[in-house]
Amino acid sequence: MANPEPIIIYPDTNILVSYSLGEKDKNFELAERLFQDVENGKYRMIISNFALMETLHALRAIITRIKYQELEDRLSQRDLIEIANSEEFTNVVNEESMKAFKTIIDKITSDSQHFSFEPNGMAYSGEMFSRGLQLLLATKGSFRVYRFRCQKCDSFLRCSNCNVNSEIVYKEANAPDLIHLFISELLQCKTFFTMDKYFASIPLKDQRIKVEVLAK
Amino acid sequence: MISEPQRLFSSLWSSIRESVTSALFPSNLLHPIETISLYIPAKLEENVALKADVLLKQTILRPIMEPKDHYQRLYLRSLVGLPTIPKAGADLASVRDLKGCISWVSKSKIDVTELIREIRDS
Repeated sequence: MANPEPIIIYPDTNILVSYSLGEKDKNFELAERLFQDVENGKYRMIISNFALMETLHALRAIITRIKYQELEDRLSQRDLIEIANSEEFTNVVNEESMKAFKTIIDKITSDSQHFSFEPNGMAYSGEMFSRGLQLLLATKGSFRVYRFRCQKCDSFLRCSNCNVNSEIVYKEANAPDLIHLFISELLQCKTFFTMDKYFASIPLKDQRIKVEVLAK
Repeated sequence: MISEPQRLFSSLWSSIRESVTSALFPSNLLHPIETISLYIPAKLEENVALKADVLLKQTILRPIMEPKDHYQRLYLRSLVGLPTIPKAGADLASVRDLKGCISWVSKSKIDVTELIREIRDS
């Protein structure tokens, strides 16, 4: 008996980047399980230009943070400004992120069996944004309290002026999340896969696409 | 209605065009190529066509891949400065090769989902 046609799915940017990072990402096993299903022919992934744009930006942000963490301790703001403005720092971040991005593009474009791409010149209707606004109006989001952390060494911090060590943050699926969802619908995907828990709270009434949040 | 001078000019022009065409492109011009093609084995012809472009080969062999998808691959590869023809045999192994292909970017563990969340929220 012939194998059934693979189900067309849309991977969120976090899944694509996580799998490419491998063991270096905290949630890699979740992405790996999904990719095993892709490899086995259960699913076929369609990659949008929007996800690729976000992938490139995420890589630049990751590498900038890593390069910052690798700097020596006790640098003043003046020292950091000098480093940030230096040609060397700019070149390292740009070259490494581009190398990483090219590697991902090379792998996914070489594999016509498991990956498809959004066709060039695809038109997006304004209705998409109108629906997005309606959805955001119907949500209330949630509030989280986060402790201040040093981005360099991950230690907890306290404000020297207010003497507080945490902040209240508004958390909710946002415009880029909804754009991903609507693009996946336009690309006629059956399921949208993400590792971001905030997708679970999007009140999708018409269920044009199934959203699956991968969690441990 | 076409006037007499127009008719004369048209017939003169047509005979000039015919003589120039026959001088430049004799009727037996393609004859040697047609003769050679009779002796090219069908297998060789097939191989040349398939090896001309690996991506084209994939389009032919896999009806699931639409031409638009094929052009988008070429476009994406050229956009980032990659050769349009991937390494031979890269096709089937690529989904496996994608796993951890950029792990060199970091020495320690990172939370990509959280970082992308931060980007979307900022």
